[in-house]
Order: sequence, then C-alpha cells, then structure tokens
Amino acid sequence: MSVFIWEEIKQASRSLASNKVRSFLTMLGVIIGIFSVITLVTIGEGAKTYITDQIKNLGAGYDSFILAAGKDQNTPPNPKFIYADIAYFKNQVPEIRDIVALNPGSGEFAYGKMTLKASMIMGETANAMQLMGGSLSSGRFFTEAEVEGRKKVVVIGPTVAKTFFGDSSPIGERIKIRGDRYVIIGVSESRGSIGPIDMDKRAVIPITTSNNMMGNDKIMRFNIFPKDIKKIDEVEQKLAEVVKRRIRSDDFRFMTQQGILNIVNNVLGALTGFVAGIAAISLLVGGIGIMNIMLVAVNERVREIGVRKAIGAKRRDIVIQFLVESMLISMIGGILGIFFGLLGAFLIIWSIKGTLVIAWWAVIMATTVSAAVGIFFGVYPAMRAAALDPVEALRYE
Amino acid sequence: MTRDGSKLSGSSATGAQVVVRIRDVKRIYHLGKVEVRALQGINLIVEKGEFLSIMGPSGCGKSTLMHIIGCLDRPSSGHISIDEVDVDELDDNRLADIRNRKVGFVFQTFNLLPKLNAIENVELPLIYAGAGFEERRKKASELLNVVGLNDRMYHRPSELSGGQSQRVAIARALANDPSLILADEPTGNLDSKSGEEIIHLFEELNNRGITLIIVTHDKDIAGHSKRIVRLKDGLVLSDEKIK
Repeated sequence: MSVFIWEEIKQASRSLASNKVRSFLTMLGVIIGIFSVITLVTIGEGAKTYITDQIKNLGAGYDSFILAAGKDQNTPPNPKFIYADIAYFKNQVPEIRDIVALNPGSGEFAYGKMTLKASMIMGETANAMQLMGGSLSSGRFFTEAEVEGRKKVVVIGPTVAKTFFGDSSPIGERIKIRGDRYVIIGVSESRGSIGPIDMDKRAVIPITTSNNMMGNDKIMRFNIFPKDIKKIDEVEQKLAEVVKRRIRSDDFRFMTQQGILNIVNNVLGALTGFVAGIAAISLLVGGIGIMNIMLVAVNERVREIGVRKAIGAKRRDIVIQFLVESMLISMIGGILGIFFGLLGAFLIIWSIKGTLVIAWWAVIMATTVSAAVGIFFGVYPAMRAAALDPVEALRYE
Repeated sequence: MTRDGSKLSGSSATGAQVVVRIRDVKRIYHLGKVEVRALQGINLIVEKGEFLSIMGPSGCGKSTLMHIIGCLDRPSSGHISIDEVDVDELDDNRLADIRNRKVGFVFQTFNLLPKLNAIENVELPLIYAGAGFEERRKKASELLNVVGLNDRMYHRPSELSGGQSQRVAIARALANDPSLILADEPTGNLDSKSGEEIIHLFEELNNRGITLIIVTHDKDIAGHSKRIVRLKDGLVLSDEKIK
C-alpha cells in the first residue's frame, strides 16, 4: 500500500507540474489563507515577547506594578501626585518596599552649536537606576541628596554622548536642556528603543529638578515595589484607598505587567479571531476552487480513468489517485503560505527590531488544515471519478 | 459454486483447459426509452492457447461481448466464467482483480497514459497488483524486450510511433501474465506495415501459449487467427476453426 501511495504522489506531482499555472492559481486561496494566519500568529508571538521585554525595560518587571495618573489610557492625565507622596505612601502602606517616581517629558538638548531636538527627558528618583535595571557605561547616577537639593545634574544616553562629545568623555561637561545648564555625571549603557522611544537618546535628571523645569510639582507615575510580590493585589487594594484619600479623587490607575500582557493578549486574540475568520473564508473559497479544478481534472481524464479501471484499478485506487492530487495541491499551497507567512512576519519583526518567535503549533496546524482542506474538497470529485463506468469512460472522446 | 452439470470439469470436450466459458449471455441496455438487445443469447467456449477472432458488422454486439469477456461489463442474464471463476457473480473489487490479473486489454487507440513513459505504462497493472518497484521494473523491462522495444523504455507515448505505442500496450497487457489477451481492433489505427508487425507479434505470443481474442472487422487480420466467430444481431452466426 505504501508503495502504491508513493506512486500516486509521484504521478500526481507530475500531473500538477504539467499544469503549473493552473495548479498555482488553484493553490492561491489556500496560500492566502495560511499566509495570513501564519503572519499574524508569528507577529503576535513576536509582539508578546517584545512587549514583555519592553515592559521589563520600563521597570514594571514581575516585582513591581505601576501607579499612574489618569483613570485610563484615553483621558489626558491631570496628575495630582507630588514628591512628598512617596514618603506618605510608604508610611501608610508598610508592605511597600520602595517607590520609584517617574516624570516623562521632552525638549531640546544643546551643546555649543549642536542641538538634539525633541529628545526625551526623564525625571526620576535616585533609586530608579538600581530598582529598574539598567546600568551606566561611565560616571554615576544622581544621589538622593541631589534629588532633595533639586540639583541640575544629568545622566545622558549613549547617543547623546556620541553626538555631542564623540569618543571623548562627557563626564563633567555641561549641556543645555530646555535652555538650562546641567552637569553630566553619567552615561547610560545602550538600551535600544522601546516602541517609538529611543532609550539611548534621552536624559535622566532628578525628578525634583524636572518639576522645576516643567514649572509644577506634579508626578505622572510611580513604580511600586511590594515587599512580597505575591501580595501584589493586597498592596494594590490598600494603596488604592490611601491614594483616594490623599488626592481626593479616583483619577489614577494601576498597571501590572500581567495586566498589560492581558490587554495585549486580548487585542491579539481578537485580531487572531478576525484573521482566522478571513483565513477560514479564504480556505473555503480555496477549497471550492480545488474542488472545481479537480472536477475539471476528472473530466479531462475520463478516458485515463477508463484505462486504469480496465487494467485493474479498483474504485479505491481511483479515489486515492484524485485525493492525493487534491491534497498535494492544498498542502503545497499550505507550505507556500507558511513560508511566505514566516517571511512576511520576519520582515515586519525585523523592521521593529524584535525577535522572530516561530509558533510551531501554528505551523503544524496550518499544514494539517491545508491537508484537510484538500481531502475534504477532493472527496466529491474523487468519488465521481471512481464511480465512472469503465465502458462509458473508455468510449469517451 | 456449481450451478449445473456442464461445469463440473475444468476441461472442454477436447480436454484442454477452458479460459472463457459463456453460456446464454444476454445483454440488454436502455437508451432513453429504447431497449437495445446487444447480445441475445451467446454461447462460446475459448480454450487455453486459442487465437480467436470475433467478427461482424457494426452493431452486431462484438464490442459488448468483448466488454463482458473483459469483465468491464456484466451480462443482463446468462453466465460467464474466466478460468472457471463465475465472474458475473463477483463484486466490483473482485472484478477489478480479474481485469488486473486474468485479462490483458489492447485497444485500437492504444490508450497509453501520456504522462508516463513506456516502462511506467507497462508497470501500471503491476502497481495495481501491489508489486514492489524492483519487481515491477524487472518484469516491465522483460516485457518491453519481448515486444522488441528495449531501446524505447524511457520514451513517452508522444515520442513513439503508432506501432511502437501498440507494442507498449501489448507489453502492458501481458504484465500480470493474464489468462487471455483481449484486443479491440488492434491494427485499426496503424498503417498496414505496422499492423502486419503487430499481427506477427500476436502470432508469436500465441505460439508461446498465450490465449488471444481479437475483435476486428478486417478479414486479413482475422485470417491470421485460428478460429473465427461471426456475430450478427447479438447472436453467433458462425464459428469455424480455420487452422
């Protein structure tokens, strides 16, 4: 039997090869269906890895969560947090180990006649470096005393250092940030980009100094580090009450890495469902196309079927012959779809500097589904071929 | 198995082994409302080693008879056995087996599969018989040798002349060592020289003991056979041994 199947595959590939354009056009539905699913799933898997990494970079690793101003992401935040809240929250919720305060902003950097426009300025507390990961290639991070004293010191990213100072050390030099002079005390290691934000083209200054710069004393975001990460929900609840009382408003929100990942998963899930729907339609149309072309193939080969029956082919042999052919069409289509899907996903992921994560379950599923499409839509034409009366078939011109 | 006394033995009156035994075979089919009585009661016995021609005007039922002997069709009534197996009682799968192993077909239009080369065409019945690759190749090349085409094994039908194509078809018919070869106007599409060669090949095969039945309307072709059965209106008109 296996010998027979192998012969069938050989003969079917020849018959497909003798009609290359027709075979390819027939495969197209399956190719598009499988392509779209593989692309999306692969990008989705890549995005999950990417986002997890980036959230870690943002400092909300699995050991912390974020307290941010604004009820949700869509309303513009009107922060009511101030620097003194750090001590207050820690005092009110003793389960908190530490708190990092963060104020993102942007502005122009200048050194002599050189400028860097629209660069990111991060106001941070002195503990940010140590708690949120990241390291310096030279110099030091600012101290708590410098934060308390609202000193104009800055830790710059490697791109800033390179742009202004080339290969010479920028430590101790002064640059202008939004018009004010700052002393460079450190240069951070390269961290690449987080989404649209170039982490290497930014300046980190004490959060209090950034308050001065922005002309208010508000803080956008805290990263809360509980003593026991397993009690994250408990700490969150307790802190929520404290925050409500403190700012007399519920205009704030919590974000955990898991929470953000859940949102990402939900979005990806909905998207995957949508694309799966399109793919299903594409596979259905592709399958009908296969059925159609197989019916044509049966009609073209009535005489051949007659001859095969005359020399001893059973119904089953004819059924297998045509099923192998339709399955081959859709499986080759599926494999092409997988190939182009992975290629497309790779190009997209490569362009955003992510890592390609091949979802093998999706590859295996795509192969199985395309084989199943071929068999399912090939059954009817194959049965018709097998049911032909040999005498009639031999007489057919 | 035995339905009547006449079939108790595997031999005919002359004592030779019977390959085809046809008893009162009728075949009626319907074209719309018209009833066509293609065969109206045929009796025929073909023994091993015979070289038989079936002749008759068109519409006499010779094609229908050939289809029934070749197990492509079943009689409406009557009985037919191949090698003493009652084929009219067999299901489609067993009938396919009989066609595969007991009968070798040779057609007027050769009916080779165009995408397969000569040796692959000859291998086809062996594939359906479940033979492995080595066995198939060996047998098929032997047979192409027998029909004198050992230098054309890997040519496609489109690269072969009519005579050569018919030789491939004969090799294919011989693939499973059938009990009989059934040829339907085997020289009908050939020039006279190629036709002659094919008839000589048939004679040679018959000399080796192969049973042959040829359906033809060509007297010259029939003249090469040993026995001529003439049909008319679905009945046997005459049955004469000429050699």
